[in-house]
Amino acid sequence: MQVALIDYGASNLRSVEKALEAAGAQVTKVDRAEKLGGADVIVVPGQGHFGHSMAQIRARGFEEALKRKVFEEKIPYIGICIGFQILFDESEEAPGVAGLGWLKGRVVRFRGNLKIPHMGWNEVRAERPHPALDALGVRGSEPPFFYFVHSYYPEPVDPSVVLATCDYGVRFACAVQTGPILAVQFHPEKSQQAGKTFLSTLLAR
Amino acid sequence: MLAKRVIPCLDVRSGRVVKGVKFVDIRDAGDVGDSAAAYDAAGADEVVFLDITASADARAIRQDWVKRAAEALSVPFTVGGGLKSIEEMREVLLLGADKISINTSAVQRPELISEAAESFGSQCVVVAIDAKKKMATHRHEQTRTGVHNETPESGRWEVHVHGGRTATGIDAVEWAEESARRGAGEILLTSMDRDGTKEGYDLELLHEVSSRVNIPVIASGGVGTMAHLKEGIEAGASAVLAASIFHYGQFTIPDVKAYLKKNGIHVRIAQ
Repeated sequence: MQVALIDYGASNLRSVEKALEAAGAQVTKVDRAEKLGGADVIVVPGQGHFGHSMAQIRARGFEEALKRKVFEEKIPYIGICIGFQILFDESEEAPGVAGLGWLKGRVVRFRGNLKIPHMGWNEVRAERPHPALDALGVRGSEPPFFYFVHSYYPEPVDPSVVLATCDYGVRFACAVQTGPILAVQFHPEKSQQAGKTFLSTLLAR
Repeated sequence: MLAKRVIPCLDVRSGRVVKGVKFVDIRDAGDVGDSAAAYDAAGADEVVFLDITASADARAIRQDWVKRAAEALSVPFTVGGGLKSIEEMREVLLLGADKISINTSAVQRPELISEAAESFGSQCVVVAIDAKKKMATHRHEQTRTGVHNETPESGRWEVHVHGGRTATGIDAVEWAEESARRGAGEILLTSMDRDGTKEGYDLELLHEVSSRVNIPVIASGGVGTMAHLKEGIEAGASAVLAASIFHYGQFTIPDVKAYLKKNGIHVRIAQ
């Protein structure tokens, strides 16, 4: 299993790389679109600012290249945190900056009397079956915990893309899946056994 | 619902864990990687490392141990102690730390908080505050007995820096608010009065700070029993940090999680 780990200069990639390797993948870090070879899976990791991330994605030629890979070649895309948020049209974090727009919807900031960022371990509830979540017993009485750290979350226009939700003052979509795209707000690479099971089940498919 | 976090804290000097971790299954209690792996396996929600190396080559030594901590952990970890510049912070984050914690350097130059938040995002920036209760002198008692009679002044704490050695005159609650305003993602709040006493957190301080800032507050200083952890959370902490109760094997992380859960506190029980 060859995984292309997209490096857009935003954050440390080592923890994601390590988690993917532990899940049985051979990982190549790719920092420019032209180096994106024949990977079986593309992983776009996260942490950082929506606007800065999109600027780097564009500057490195990834916008067109990723679109081609995912929509023409049907290469699976796994997005984590910012790699999840950039799939949408836009974000309150960076008004005026267009996201990839592959999924309809906006990324909005948590509101109300909450500690922000939403930081720590929260329960993930499956909204429909999926092997990577089923492997965790997500639909049992004790849902698994994943590690989150974010101040913004996407509001998908199409509810059918929502794979799982999480409750932090509001119940928000923390995982989406449509066609070859699967993206999550939480950090499987920082989520101990739950994260390992999630990633290894995903990559085994 | 978001779980309350249980965070063991390890002091690191010259690349070795100080005081060690007395786990039965640990190979080398002083090794950062082994200690980190033991806490990871035990189900710690995060780990905090505090570098207390006081030598000129601290930066070079840190490169090695932070990397080993990163390899050993599958939960987030924070590195604090002596970080003075954005470049040093970047180095630590690139070595695999998830967050950096700043204390003295932030007090000396508060812009550092904003710069760090701007560079890495607020979620990476922990401001550690060492707070000590302010004492009030009672004049009439002073004349009667001829000695200063100091009692704690209610609701006032002073920020100390340089590992607690230097008083700053800064109000701890106001400093927490300013830190949050400048972009800190979290406050690591240590009561100097309680640190090492095993008498429990300073709950008044915790309550005051966590009700005044809209970012998570980590309670620190004074834990001696599992009930203390519960009290800290009830006073408003999003996470509870402890060192000696874990290192000396008084309680394990699973003990603590089970206790908190039984007492109605939402925690993650590791699979």
